[in-house]
Amino acid sequence: MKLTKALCCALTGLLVPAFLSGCFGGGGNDNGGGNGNIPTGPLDDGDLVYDENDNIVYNGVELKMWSVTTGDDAVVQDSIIAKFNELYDGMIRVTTTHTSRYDLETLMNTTMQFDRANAPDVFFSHGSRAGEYVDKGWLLPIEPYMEKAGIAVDKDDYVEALLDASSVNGHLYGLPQDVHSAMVVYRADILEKNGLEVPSNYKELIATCEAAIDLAKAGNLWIRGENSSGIPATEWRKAPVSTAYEPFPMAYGDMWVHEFVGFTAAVQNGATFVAEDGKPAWNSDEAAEGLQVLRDFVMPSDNSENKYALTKEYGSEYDVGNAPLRMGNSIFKFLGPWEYAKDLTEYGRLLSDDGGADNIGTMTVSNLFAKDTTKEYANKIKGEGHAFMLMETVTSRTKQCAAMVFADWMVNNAGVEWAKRGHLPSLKSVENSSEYRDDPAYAQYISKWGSCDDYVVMPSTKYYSYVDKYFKDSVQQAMSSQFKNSAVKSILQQKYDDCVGYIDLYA
Amino acid sequence: MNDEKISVATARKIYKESNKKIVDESVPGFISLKNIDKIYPNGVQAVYDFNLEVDKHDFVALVGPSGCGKSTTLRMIAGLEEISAGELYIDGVLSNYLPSKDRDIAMVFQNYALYPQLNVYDNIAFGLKIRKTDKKEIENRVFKAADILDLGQYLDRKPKQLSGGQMQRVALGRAIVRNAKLFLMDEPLSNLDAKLRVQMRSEIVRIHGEVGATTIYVTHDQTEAMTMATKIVVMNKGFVQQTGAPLEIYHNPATLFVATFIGTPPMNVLECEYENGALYLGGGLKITLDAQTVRAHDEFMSGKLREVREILSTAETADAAALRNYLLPLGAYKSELNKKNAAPEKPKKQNIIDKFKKKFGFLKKKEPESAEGYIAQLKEMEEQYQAALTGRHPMKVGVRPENLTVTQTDGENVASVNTEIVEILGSEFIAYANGEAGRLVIKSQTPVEAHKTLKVRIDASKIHLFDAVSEQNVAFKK
Amino acid sequence: MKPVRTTTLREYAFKREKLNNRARSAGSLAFFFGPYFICFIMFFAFPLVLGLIMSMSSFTSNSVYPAEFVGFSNFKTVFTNPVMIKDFWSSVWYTIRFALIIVPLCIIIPLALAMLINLKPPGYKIFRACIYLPGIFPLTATGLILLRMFSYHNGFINALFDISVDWFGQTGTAWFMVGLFCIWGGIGGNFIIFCAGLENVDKSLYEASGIDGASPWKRFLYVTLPGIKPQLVMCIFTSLCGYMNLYGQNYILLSNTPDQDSVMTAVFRIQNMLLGSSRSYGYVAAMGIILGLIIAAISAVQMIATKERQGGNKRVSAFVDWKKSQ
Repeated sequence: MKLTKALCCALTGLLVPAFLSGCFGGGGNDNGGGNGNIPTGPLDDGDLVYDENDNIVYNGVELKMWSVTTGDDAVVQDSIIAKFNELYDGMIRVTTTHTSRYDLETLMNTTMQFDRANAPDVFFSHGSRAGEYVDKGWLLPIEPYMEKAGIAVDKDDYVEALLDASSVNGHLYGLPQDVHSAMVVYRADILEKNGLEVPSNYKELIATCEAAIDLAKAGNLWIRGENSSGIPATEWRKAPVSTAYEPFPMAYGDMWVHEFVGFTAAVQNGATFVAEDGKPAWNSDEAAEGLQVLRDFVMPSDNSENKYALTKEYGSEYDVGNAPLRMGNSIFKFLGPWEYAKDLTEYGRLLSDDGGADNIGTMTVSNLFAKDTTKEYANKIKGEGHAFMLMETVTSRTKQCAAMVFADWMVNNAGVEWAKRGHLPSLKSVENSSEYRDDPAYAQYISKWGSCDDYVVMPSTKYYSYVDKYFKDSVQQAMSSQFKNSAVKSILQQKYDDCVGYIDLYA
Repeated sequence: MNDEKISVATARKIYKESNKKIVDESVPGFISLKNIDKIYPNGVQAVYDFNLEVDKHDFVALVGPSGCGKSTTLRMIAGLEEISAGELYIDGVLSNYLPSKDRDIAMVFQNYALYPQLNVYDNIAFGLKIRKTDKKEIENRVFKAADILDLGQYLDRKPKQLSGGQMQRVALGRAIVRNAKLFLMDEPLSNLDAKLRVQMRSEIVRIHGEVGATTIYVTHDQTEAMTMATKIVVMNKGFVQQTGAPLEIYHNPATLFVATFIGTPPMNVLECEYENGALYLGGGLKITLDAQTVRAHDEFMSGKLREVREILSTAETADAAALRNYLLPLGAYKSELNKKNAAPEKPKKQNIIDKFKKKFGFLKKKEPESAEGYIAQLKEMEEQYQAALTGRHPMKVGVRPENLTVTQTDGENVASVNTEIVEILGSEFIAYANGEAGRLVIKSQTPVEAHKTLKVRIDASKIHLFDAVSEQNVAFKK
Repeated sequence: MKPVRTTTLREYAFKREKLNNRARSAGSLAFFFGPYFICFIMFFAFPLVLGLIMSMSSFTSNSVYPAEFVGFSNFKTVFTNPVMIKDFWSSVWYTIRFALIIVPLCIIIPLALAMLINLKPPGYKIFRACIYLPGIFPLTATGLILLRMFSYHNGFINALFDISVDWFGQTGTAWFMVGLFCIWGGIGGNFIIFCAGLENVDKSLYEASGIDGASPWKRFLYVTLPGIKPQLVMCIFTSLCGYMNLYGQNYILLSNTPDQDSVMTAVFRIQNMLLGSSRSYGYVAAMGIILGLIIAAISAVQMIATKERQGGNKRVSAFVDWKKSQ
């Protein structure tokens, strides 16, 4: 035992100095991460090759891209990229790896620290995070390289909010591709049968929902859908009087609510999220009002617009709207637009005897939470956008320019195919193009999701994770019955204090 | 008292009035065991028909080889085992189902059973503390016991800091302070080394003299039984072989087993043949018996013959169990000597079907016992006893080592033997010798040398004659 | 010319053989002990040393390596920074409170079950296996099943008893669920240890105490409990250490509880801070060390309380006095 102790001490004695010498000062790469990689002068030509017309020659350029899209989105994106590869066959080829966003951050972190050789060239992720990446020194600014590649970036054509989200100190670091948010799916057949209007704003939503509840109380509400009593799904029956009708199930456990609806409700009542210095700005009365709207939906009070609760209390459950909508026990639900295709198929099958997928409709969440619809922010929808970002590990000028060519082509040509997945284009010209508008899907549902101009995203800040997380916590607590005795404003204030506390700690 | 038939209501009344204790004044002795049987759930019977009366202040030793049922009997008296049949009376009270703590007994275990986390004082005081005795009284009693046992300086120590002898004394102390009516000791000295054992033996006897409690002592060491007890019960295979005072058992053993079990070195047993009042052993040895012995022999044989004939006459109609119950004790009497001479049996390999049968055999309906085997055995016995009365028949003769005298003269009862080993004990010599009559152990006061030829005289008045069939002493005086 | 060292042949042979003997025994020691030793260094000593270094350095978000040496300032921050105090120390307090409730339960329930099994009723081997079985199931899978079972609107339990309780949404019931989960899965280990311990209690002690007149409860107090004392001490120690480090159950069951501040245990809080950037590594390492010291302190208190007590000589002196008075 004495021998063991001696050996242990000896080894410890060896390890500690080894660490101390190796660790300190060696923190990360200090290659100008502090200044955002802004080139100090015009870019040189590097390894560019020009042809006789002064156009850049791309010969067998291989680009590696990491994309945050997965599942069906990944399939569609890959097919669009395949078109690019076909078009630029022999010149530029892009290979893509898809990783879910829960793993992508960690993956990028470890790769940029330990495995820079295997880092991607192009990074396709949420544009709002560009601020954080710039802070870590990972990104190159887009515009100098666009200029070198001879591509013009028309800033007026892009949705302004998307450009701002990917800009740091006036420099653009991500080329926005799209924007998406949650939307609403409703049972058009139930509304029609009961003579209810499709709501287009907050007051109408409440009116429709409460009318439905009243009808149900009186035993006069017609519903149909999946059921366990053996009645065919297309046959109309009366909603039971004994249970309270919930026209619009929503839960803070739902991704739609905490990622999009919470923010949207705040925005539509005038809130902003990020202050000048990058710290949170959502501890405002406006944000409180927005969250109060959501709280009222779940737990109405004497002061709320609605006197009935629009939803049962679901707590932390998620996807709470799917089953009730299918059974006819609800009329509205939140959904991500990329899931809409699945719903169309499902209802197409369920109600195939009488209208199929025509029985459901979709609409945007514009104006649905705005207490004052005259304000210019009332129709805003808070979403999230993707952007192409150029990694600073790309040193070859040819590759940098090829990446720009690729990003520009994708942004302009992903068009309606990408929109069918719920991702609206970032370019107004694309949205207004005939290709886009002539596609039948546009008339069927894409148009219902509003114009890309209606969308806002989280502005650029290097404290994105904290600003985002603590607001989501406030949404959760505001909608939870455990906190119903705390004022929304005080919840926001407390979360604000925590958020700023951590930001200051790490400053 | 308890055997008349009364109505249930009367029985209930009497039971309640007598404070749930049935007292029978007519029962003799302080402790009385009547026809006690112990049958385990799997059918094995450990104790057969145990009868014993213990008077106050008696020191009774239950002695026998391992597995003979002595510990089981003791535990039945203590209340740690259930009594399958029979009656147990403690101080006149019917105690079959009385809980141990109400029997006013104290027990000393073979492995001491001391509470490891308590010190010596608390160990001894435990029983008194449980019964909520006054603290001053506890102290008094404990100190008195510690004084008797010389444990005064160890009172603060924990059991693991004590030696074997000290631990045993603590266990004794625990029994003494309770002032119980009955002390039960289950082989308390087996775990001690030889010297300590001898020392503790005298301690226990001294304490018994001082405290005067009735003691029942279980041991497998016959020396202990002989030196400590006032009454010895010799047991073998669940049967009581003989009950009596130590000297009585020594000089008047009832069976061959008792004869060979009691006494060190054990009695010499030789094969012989009886004819006309004389015994003929190997090597031309002849022992002429006196008239008393011859008469005893004849009476014994005719008595046995009568007995067997009586059983056989009703054998056809009697059930097998009765026959078995007659034959069983005879098997118990057979000493361990016979086992040694039998050829070793090759163990049968059990295949899986046998194992299955063994495990689930209890499910199969039991066939009734057949009496054929028993009847055959009894018939054989009858023949042998018949022969015993008429002609020459084999018997066994026993003579104690101290009753063999080394002599120079010859004679018909003098055997010529060759000494193999001689143990020199200082005051006496024990010689192990071989002769044509058999193997002899000789105790001599005069020096004997090994690997020498000796002449040894067998005194006819000091021999014991045993029936070869039942191994009972033909001259046993009840 | 260098002086030549001389020695006798006998001395040389002795020295050589002594060295060979030592080398042989050390060699077999290294052979058997080596693998364990390597693992010990890799998974215990090295992370401990690294953790100490991390706790005394600051980090930037760029790299997982320490940036600069800051001495004990991280520790000071953990003790004084308001948001740290609110988050970390409240979670430590919650963890201690929970451990104080659940450790006794995790001793008493397995002990009671072990005593029942010790009576060896028919089929006891099956019961024994059933009691131990929950402990081998993976935490995540059973946690998810539990989430489904106790789901607020669609759960089996709420439907069966026709009640409407948000098990995971309210703090009180959330901790109850964690306790239920811990007990269901955690008693197996202690149970088996107690079963083995109870078998080793000398049966004759029970008989002796029975004859002395002890009731079943007194027998439990004076024979059973002291008999299994080593197992008891060990189980209390390991359970306490284990539950002070509670993390998995809370993470799986309570990630969606609204009042996260009141349902996070210390390790959960530390894990949470690790996510995101590496800026927090210094503080987190300091928190880990502080937590380790707290657990060590609690364990030390427990060990001292359950130590074997030596005699003294109270009784002997009393005896001497008594003897004199006789």
